[in-house]
Amino acid sequence: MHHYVFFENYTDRYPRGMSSPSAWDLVPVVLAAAIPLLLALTAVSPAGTPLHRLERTLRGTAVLAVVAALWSVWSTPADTATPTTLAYWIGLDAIRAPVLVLVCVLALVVARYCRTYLAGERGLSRFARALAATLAAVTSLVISRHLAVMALAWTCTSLAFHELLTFHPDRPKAQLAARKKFLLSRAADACVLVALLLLAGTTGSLHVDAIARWVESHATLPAAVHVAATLLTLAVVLKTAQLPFHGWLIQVMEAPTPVSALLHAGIVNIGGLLLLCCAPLVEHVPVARAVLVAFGLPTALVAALMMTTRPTVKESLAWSTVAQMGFMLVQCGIAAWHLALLHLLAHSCYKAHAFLSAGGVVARTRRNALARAPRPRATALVLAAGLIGLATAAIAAVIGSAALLHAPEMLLLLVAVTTLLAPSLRAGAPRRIATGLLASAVLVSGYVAWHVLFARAAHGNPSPFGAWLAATGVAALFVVHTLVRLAPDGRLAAWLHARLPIGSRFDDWATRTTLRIWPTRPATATRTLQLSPSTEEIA
Amino acid sequence: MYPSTNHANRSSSPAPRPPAPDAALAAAAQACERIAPTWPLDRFIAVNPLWGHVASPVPRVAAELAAQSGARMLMPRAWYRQQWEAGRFGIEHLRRAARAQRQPIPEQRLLAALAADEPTIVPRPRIVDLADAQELRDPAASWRGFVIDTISEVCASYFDRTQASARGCSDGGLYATWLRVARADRRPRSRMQLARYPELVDALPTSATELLPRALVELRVPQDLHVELLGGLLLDINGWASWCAYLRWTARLAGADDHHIVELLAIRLAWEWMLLRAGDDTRMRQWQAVLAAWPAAQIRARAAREIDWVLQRAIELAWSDDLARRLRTTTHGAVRAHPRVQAVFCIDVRSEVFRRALESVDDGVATLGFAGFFGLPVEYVALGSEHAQPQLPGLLAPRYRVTDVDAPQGLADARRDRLHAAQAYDGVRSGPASGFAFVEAFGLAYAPKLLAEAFAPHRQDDGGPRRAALTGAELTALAPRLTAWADGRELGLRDRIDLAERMLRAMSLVRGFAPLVVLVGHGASTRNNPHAAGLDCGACCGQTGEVNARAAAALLDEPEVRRGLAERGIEIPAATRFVAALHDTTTDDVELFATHAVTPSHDDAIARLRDGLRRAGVLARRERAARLGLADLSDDRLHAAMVARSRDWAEVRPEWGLAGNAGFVAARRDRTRGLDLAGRVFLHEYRWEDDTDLETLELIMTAPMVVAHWINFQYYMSTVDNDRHGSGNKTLHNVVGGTIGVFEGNGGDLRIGLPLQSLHDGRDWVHTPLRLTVVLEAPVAAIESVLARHERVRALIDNGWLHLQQLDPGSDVLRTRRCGAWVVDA
Repeated sequence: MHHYVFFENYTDRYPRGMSSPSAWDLVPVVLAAAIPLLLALTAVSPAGTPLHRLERTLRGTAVLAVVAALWSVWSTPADTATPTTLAYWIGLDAIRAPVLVLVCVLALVVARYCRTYLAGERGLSRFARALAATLAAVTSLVISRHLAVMALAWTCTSLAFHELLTFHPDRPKAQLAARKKFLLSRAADACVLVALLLLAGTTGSLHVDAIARWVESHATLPAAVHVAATLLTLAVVLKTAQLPFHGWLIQVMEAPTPVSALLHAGIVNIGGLLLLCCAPLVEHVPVARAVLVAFGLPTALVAALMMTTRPTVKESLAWSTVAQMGFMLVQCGIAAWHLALLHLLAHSCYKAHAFLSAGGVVARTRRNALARAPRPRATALVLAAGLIGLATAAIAAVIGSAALLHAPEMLLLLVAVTTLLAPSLRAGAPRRIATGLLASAVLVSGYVAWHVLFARAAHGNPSPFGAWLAATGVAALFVVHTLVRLAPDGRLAAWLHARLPIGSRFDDWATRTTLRIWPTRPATATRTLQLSPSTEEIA
Repeated sequence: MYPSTNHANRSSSPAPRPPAPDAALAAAAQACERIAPTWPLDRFIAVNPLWGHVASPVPRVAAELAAQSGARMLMPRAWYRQQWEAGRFGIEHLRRAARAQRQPIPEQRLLAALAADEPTIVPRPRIVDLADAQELRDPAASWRGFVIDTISEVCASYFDRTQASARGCSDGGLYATWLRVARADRRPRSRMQLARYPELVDALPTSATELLPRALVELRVPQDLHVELLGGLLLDINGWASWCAYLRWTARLAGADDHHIVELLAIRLAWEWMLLRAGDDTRMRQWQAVLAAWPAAQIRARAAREIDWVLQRAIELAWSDDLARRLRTTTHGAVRAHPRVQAVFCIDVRSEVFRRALESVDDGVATLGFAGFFGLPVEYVALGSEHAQPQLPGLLAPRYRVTDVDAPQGLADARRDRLHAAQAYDGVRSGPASGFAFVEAFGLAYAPKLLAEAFAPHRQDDGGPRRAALTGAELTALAPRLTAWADGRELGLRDRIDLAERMLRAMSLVRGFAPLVVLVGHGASTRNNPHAAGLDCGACCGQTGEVNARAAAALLDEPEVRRGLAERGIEIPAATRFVAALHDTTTDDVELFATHAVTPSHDDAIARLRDGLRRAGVLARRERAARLGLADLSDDRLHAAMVARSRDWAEVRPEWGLAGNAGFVAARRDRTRGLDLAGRVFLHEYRWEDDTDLETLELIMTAPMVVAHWINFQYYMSTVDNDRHGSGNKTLHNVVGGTIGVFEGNGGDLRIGLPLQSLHDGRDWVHTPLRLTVVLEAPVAAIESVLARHERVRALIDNGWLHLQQLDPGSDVLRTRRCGAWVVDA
């Protein structure tokens, strides 16, 4: 069996055992290790954890993360074979380094935001402690190279984040959402635990490199490894708010806005990192990959449609997050690892910004009301799609697109460019068309540039069938949404609207189960007391 | 529509008693009239949420609301105790307040009450509450929560026009839409375990007008309790009811009507009916017992807080006594006879601070107070826009139109193109299919944006809604001018002269014009704030006053208009120039507009004014610094901090708005000049001697005074009961439908009123809930004659919604109107 090693640039440049790493190469490892340590110290500081102190720590950790990440690019990976060395446990590579920077930067922005936004709230010290603990856990997960540590950190993340979700203890719905997430996370933990036991039993190690080497050296994988990988992906599905386990994420706005933004600093999306780290394993377990696509693709499509029907800004953003997480899992499932990494990073920045600036929706609506763009027209859309298709074909003919990008990716881009270009074609004015084309060019170059860059940094091996399946799904979504936009009061829109609550229906059983296992108040309701005067009147 | 068919249907249905549809619908209409409107977030102006109740005395309304929904109209007793212990009111205020009661309360009882906590008032349960109690429901899965959530969901989708790009079918109106959704909804069965739900929902009538009478009969509600019951049910969903009331209000301003509120009421009633039918005999028995106990509940509620109204009045007396003392100590004639500059500010309490500061740095400036729309009942159609934005108080409908003139060639088209391009970008960003490629192309570009927002807020100047899709230079080139009637007809010279005359007379500025008259509108700067419009000028319908000030100044500078005014006895000297300005209430910066149009002879005056405004800004900021926690900064750093604050996306308290408002004074400025009124008083210029036909007084008492009362009562109610009349915690706000309003968190009722962060600094209330004290400098007979003509205004005073005082024009005597008589408080 041909096996690839995920980060060939690392491994190719520095084949194991050939180079002798110097002490300087340990610097990124030490710097990275300092990050969770500092955060953990802040969390347990006996002097209390005011937000401004946490923010100061986070300024430091953000700098550490950037320095460590840059340093790691030029340093030789240290010896990872001996469990007694730090580098065995901790290391930065082309996935962990950018994710670490992402988490630290988002955490810093969120903490800075909280300092102003939450001023005057009760229980801020508890909030800051929980925030520090959450981030300590997330960063430990990110820098760790050992699955047992990663799993432990993952659990701790969820436990600490639970405190943030329940920041308002007097809101029953916040409690319910948090408990729902808590129970799902424990189910995920159980999956991880069994998976790790199986892996340790079969491969003899839980170190990611050791597992990768083990997988490399075995032509056929035993059933236990298949089961383990599948359980790992199931855990990711559970923790990444995939349908039907998405309800808690939709209800997360029962906690303050920055908590929703923080989700993208490694709470809801870190499953992606885990899959990337286990890529050599997951890639060879078809069932695990099928699980990712089977959950991810329907989630991406249904949640994206749900998003377009939601009347509130935060709920709409939450559905969009669910959809994007689904999309990321599909990218993992089809082994487009480099794109999954790009997606994880880019979506986190975008969505954290979107949540933090959600209050600006009123200003945006006011702006749009000044001159509402006319409704799209079918001709403009077809024209736009046709034009772009031709242009793509022409470019591909000249420079050979296969080398540049894969056709399914082009289909996704086509959908976005059509959406962007159609309004200017609809307007018809030459200047509008020119700006539309210019904007499309920017969009295309941005997309292509990032894809090419990430294809260099990380390795992807997308299965053509999976890629086409995903791209076709998104294209179908585009067609459906376009038809709805062309006739918002038409039969398709009405039919869709009547069907879509299915999304929330899935959540119903989760709500019921949560209430049964963990009611927000003991069954001896104090409610009867509230009614006592009337019962007294009855008597 | 088809009475015969209806009749046939009804006679075949086995109703226990013949329904009385007309009586039921009349009761519903009466209940609906009690709900006050709430304005959308893009024009978030203040309103008394109990405007529909002003025909009744405040304590009675309070008891009624307490019994119906548990709503409060008073602070907790502990708060009064705290105020007492802090010396905010004394025994003499307590005595006077007690004396004013119909049945005097002995002093001992009052003092004893101060030491104890108030009795709890238990609101009348609804059938949803009986169901919750009977089924021992988890609070996270209560029927009450579920019913409100599902109604709210339907309303949000039904009324949303901008957030969702795919909307559901809304044929047949709100009730029909709800019924369709409800019939397809499986949650009542699956989550709430109501197995009979499909049968119950299928049995519901297909229209609201059919449901109301039938349900009232089924619920066995005695006829005399119909309004009470329906009113209480509306309070359960008060946010959406208020939104429907807004739709009704705007429809009526335009001469039409709107009945969404009745449909909403029918939906809420339908749930009561279903849950009654879902229950057993016990539920019906309990419900009958609850109904029987209704009258008692209100009496108990009234008695429970009787004493607290005395305490509330005592605190108000302590404040108004202090105001009276200050008003008596003014040295008359402090105003220079011939000021160099007259500056007309909005009556907004925030102007008081700045006016005082400006007058103190330059005694050649005389300031006046007038409603910040400067008497122009206009709508504004911005350059490149087809959307008419009302720029006047919510009580009125626009009559004229302001548009931007003198714009450079092609700017309108360019702006429209930019606005459309921005929407195209939004389309890609939020498109369900395009979003996947979008984040991969542009997502990482948001990383620097995040850092800039977080660490360089002072650089995040988006210029506010007026500068949308324009550069700063392009914006300055625009000149908003009064150009037409609201219906598009051309505005003739006579109409302009009429308007100018009305404006000047209403602001009591008909003689003694200074060489430079500045009309200062106001607006706030704040980012990422759903309630931003609430900090802008309320008299301009939640916009800044810029457009009105500029259009008004230009109108008064027109030579033909001046000639016409002279013919009507208002001589404006040829050397007098009108200039518009905008006061940024968040930063206390004042921008002067189009000063290049003023003749060169005024250059010095303008330069001097500019300097005065700058120095006044320093003083005003210093005064506000303490409440913002910035007291220890130097002047320059304070300014920088306030600017940064106004652009910080995380700032939930950019400024304190109108918090603290408590008084309204309509008098000559010399009555208040030099007095430190701490930014708590609305100041309206009024010279009774120029108001021979009492038109101006009538206008003041029916418009600015009522608007001030609305603002005052919005702050009052949002403070005393933020759960029901305020919008809760800003950090949980979730904007509904782009501009409709907010949810607190994931769902629940639409939230109206002010957020907690606008009233409370985290340690204590920044707003003290006091009913407005109005002081009018006018003869008693004049005031009485206006009251005689305006029943609603009289009701406000007689029923205790505001307190009216008269400042004797010739002396320092202050009289209070109490039970129709004018008394001098010792």
